Amino acid sequence: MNERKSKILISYLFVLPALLFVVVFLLIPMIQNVYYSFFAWNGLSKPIFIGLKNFQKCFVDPNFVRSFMNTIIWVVFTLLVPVSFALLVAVFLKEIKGGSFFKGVFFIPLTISFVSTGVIWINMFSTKGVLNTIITAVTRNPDTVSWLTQVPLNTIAMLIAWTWQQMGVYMVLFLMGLTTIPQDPIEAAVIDGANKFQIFKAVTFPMLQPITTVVITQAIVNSFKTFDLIYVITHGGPYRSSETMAVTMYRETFSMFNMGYGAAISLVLSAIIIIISGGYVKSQLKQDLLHY
Amino acid sequence: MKKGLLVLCVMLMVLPTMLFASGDQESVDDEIVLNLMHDKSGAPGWVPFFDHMSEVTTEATGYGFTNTVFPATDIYMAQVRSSLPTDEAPNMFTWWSTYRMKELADEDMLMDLTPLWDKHADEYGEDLRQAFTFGDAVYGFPLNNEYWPVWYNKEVFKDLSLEVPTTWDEFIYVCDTMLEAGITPFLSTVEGRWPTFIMFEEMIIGEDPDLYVDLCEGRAKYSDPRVVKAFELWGDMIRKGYFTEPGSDIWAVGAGQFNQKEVGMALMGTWYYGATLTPNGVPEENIGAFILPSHNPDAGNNIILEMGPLVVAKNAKNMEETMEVVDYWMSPEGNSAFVEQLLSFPGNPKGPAEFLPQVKVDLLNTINTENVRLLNRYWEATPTPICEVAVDEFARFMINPDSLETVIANLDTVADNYWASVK
Repeated sequence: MNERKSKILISYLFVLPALLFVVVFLLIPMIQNVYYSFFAWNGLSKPIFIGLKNFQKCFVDPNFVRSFMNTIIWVVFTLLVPVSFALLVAVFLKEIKGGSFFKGVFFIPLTISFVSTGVIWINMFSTKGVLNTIITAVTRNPDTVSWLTQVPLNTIAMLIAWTWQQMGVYMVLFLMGLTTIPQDPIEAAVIDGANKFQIFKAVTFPMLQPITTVVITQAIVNSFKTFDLIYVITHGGPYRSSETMAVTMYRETFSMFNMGYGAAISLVLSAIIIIISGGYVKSQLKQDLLHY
Repeated sequence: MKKGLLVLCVMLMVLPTMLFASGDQESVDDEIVLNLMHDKSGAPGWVPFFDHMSEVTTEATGYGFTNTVFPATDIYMAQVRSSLPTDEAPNMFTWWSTYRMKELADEDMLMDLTPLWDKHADEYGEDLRQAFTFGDAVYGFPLNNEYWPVWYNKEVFKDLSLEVPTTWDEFIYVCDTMLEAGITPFLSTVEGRWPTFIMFEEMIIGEDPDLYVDLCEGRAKYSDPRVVKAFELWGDMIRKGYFTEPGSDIWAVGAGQFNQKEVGMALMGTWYYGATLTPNGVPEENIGAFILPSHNPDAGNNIILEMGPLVVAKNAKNMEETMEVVDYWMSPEGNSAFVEQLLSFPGNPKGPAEFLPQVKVDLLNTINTENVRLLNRYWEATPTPICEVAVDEFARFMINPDSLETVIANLDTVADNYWASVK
């Protein structure tokens, strides 16, 4: 074996352990998931091949339809609130003195696990929680707000918790983007008499586009995948009213033991995420090519 | 270069061990140690109780066991179900009775314990045996029994000069008196989904216990006028404000409300006493229990029974040793050695129970002397696919009692579909 071949062999051998892990713990389960999506299976008995029936069920199952609509609400809200708010905060924090303190304040929730966040907000929203205590004190009305059992208030409540945690991620990404923007065009705009809003609109925001693409893509993917926060706070309840597709997938698989249907839901969810996020990234790349 | 190859060889030798290593039941010195899986991680967790029992069985049979606890019931169920068809199945695991157990028995995943039931026939009685019988075999055995009374704060009753109710009218008087005093009569919640069936099953057995059995087993419909009547009565109670708001915490916070006389009563299993009330500071002397009177006088005295079974996986290793441990555990002394830790009612009716707190002793005496009919809890008594939908529908009703028509229609649909699929 010559030196070059030996080097190549060693390189492959170094990659092999990682590759084995990926194959055993990711690729094989993924292939199994696709396989079981064509079967009726309760996890115990012999799987029965039913073709596309699990996928057809997605379109007629009211629980799936509701969870799909809830997922869309999560995606739209995430794009409108945490992302927009994070951009605003990042822009202001770059300007003001003591910005690093506020960066810390907004970033801390990101360091907490989703489960812990869920527990914190359960306590905030509970009958005797902080929010109800404040509302009762201000309104002098002893009736409390049922944050987590009223539909659609429970979804709104969870979106508040989601914003609290997610904003930090997007803020950090935008701050990174803002630091990479060259000062020359901004100075030129100042000389031309542009005010701060005009500078932001005409210079800063367009130049932030690469990082905006990353943030929006991440926001779309994260909100489609939302599971832990909802599962901890409401379990998707009451009466499955606040489930998202990820929660429905889990419920069908591990509560109802409709393993085949759960696998089908996971594939539908994956396909939606790939199509939407992939389509968005592709459109942005096209725009970038037009710019240059 | 040679060093690199050496490192790689070592990595490749270690890797399969990392990937495919699995805990063996037998330790290096060939001592057989069985294993037990459970999901009893709450307050109090059962790990120390099972550890104690392992010491007891080691002394009695020569075989002990390790116990593995799972933090959440759904994760636990998924783990057990996935391990049962393999040789990694646990020797013993806690489960739920009736329909929750039937699906495992139907798939031939459980060890037939008929010989042990025959051996202990004089201790258990036919009714208990039937609850664990599927087809021609008996599976599992009851670790403990839990009854579902109304827990009440004696101080509240004393303050308001209330007596323990023995009729429905007296019970309504108790609730109304509490309401007038600014005390919410009952703890109640939709959180966690499953607690929603508690009041439903009480209302149905209070209408007609036979109707309850028929409903669970598909011989009656949810749109039966008697079921609707029970729902309507429950709805009136919700509208009157007899229950805490649906998002309430019935655990630590609920125990606090109970202790601070903000809430007067809680309808819960007897485990609630030692798992929630006393650990959260409610003094034992302030806790009383009574059986909820039936709203239909013809229904008689009824109480819900929750059995906590232990089952044996058919594919588990060391079956002979497992059966020896189970045999001892089924015996009166073995069973009581375990439930004494829990302060629970022995699964073996012949097991000594002098360790029980007085409030539980009194309840057991009432059950044994007043011709009280025991009825299996809804969670186990009705098929799982129906139950999983039903608890969500009960939640819908608890949040909005005006949704009764929708709830009944949805319950009928899921029940009809299920029973049609198994015919």
